[in-house]
Amino acid sequence: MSMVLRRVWELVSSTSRGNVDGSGAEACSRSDLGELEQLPGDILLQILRELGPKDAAKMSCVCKALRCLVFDNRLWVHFLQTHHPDPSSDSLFFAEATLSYGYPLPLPPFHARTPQLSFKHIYGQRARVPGSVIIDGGSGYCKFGWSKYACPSGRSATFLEFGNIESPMYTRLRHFFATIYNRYTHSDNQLHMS
Amino acid sequence: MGSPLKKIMLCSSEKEIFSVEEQVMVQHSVIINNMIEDGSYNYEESKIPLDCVDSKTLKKVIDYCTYHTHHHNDNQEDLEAWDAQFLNVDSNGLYDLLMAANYLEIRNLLDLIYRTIKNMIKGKKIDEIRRILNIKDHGFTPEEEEQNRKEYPHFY
Repeated sequence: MSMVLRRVWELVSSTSRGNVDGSGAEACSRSDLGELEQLPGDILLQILRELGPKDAAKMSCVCKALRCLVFDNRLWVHFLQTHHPDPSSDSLFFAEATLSYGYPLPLPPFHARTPQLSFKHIYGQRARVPGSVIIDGGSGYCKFGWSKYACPSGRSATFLEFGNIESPMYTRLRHFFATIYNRYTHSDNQLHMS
Repeated sequence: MGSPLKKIMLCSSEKEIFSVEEQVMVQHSVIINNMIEDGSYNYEESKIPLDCVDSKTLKKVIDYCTYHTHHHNDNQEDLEAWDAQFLNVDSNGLYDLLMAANYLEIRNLLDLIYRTIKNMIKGKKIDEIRRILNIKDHGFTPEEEEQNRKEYPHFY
């Protein structure tokens, strides 16, 4: 009887181990964290917070166990709040979950359909947003785009779209705005219009 | 806050008993402060059992709290020099201190250790970090490792 039990146990443990290899979340705990192995997740997370976004991102390549921690949304929400101070995290969430789909805005209840957000990804995107948005609507000719400087200058702007009265760009402009407007509300970058 | 001369007893995992000025621990450890404040500590009989802190570590923790209680008016430079000397321990010692500070909720000691670990890692290349943290098996498949190196060449 005990022999049977042992066999069953072996079978169960070997198959469950096999599953762990294949599944993402549980595979996290299987690599060797060396000295850090026994540290509780909270402490590791705190160390990642101390490291700041750049080095924390780097830690995701150090080993698999750390990778899972680095992708923890709590970490990146913290970085977003400290490095890109935003008046409210609600507006950030609304911006990323709703506005980022562009126009037309999804109807409520949109939360039910919102896929899992990765705040690490969001942080990366926000960190890359250049200095200002330029909209130039002079002399019947309209263009808009990015500038990497805080103030627009003729030399540095990268224009995304050009349009005139014959090629209406209203919807594209609106889509562009729905996507990026929120990223500017939280920073001191200015929206320049001329 | 208790009177400065009152003593409390701390008991390490080896059952060694350390007698410390109450004020010293109350000021630094949130846990002990709560214990004293809610009256669950009996000065005649109780000792506070710290089963996950060994004697060597507990002694260091008490040293830290005592020094920072009595020298909190020293200039910042002297304190930092003392802290650096204090944390001149091997990685096992640092790990034990981290666990003890976390358990006892000693905020400033925790911050000090976090900063130290940060300085060990910050700006280093992946392979160096693996060596520092003594990570022998990073758990990535060769393909994943290859992919990482391709995607983030500046980390390596």
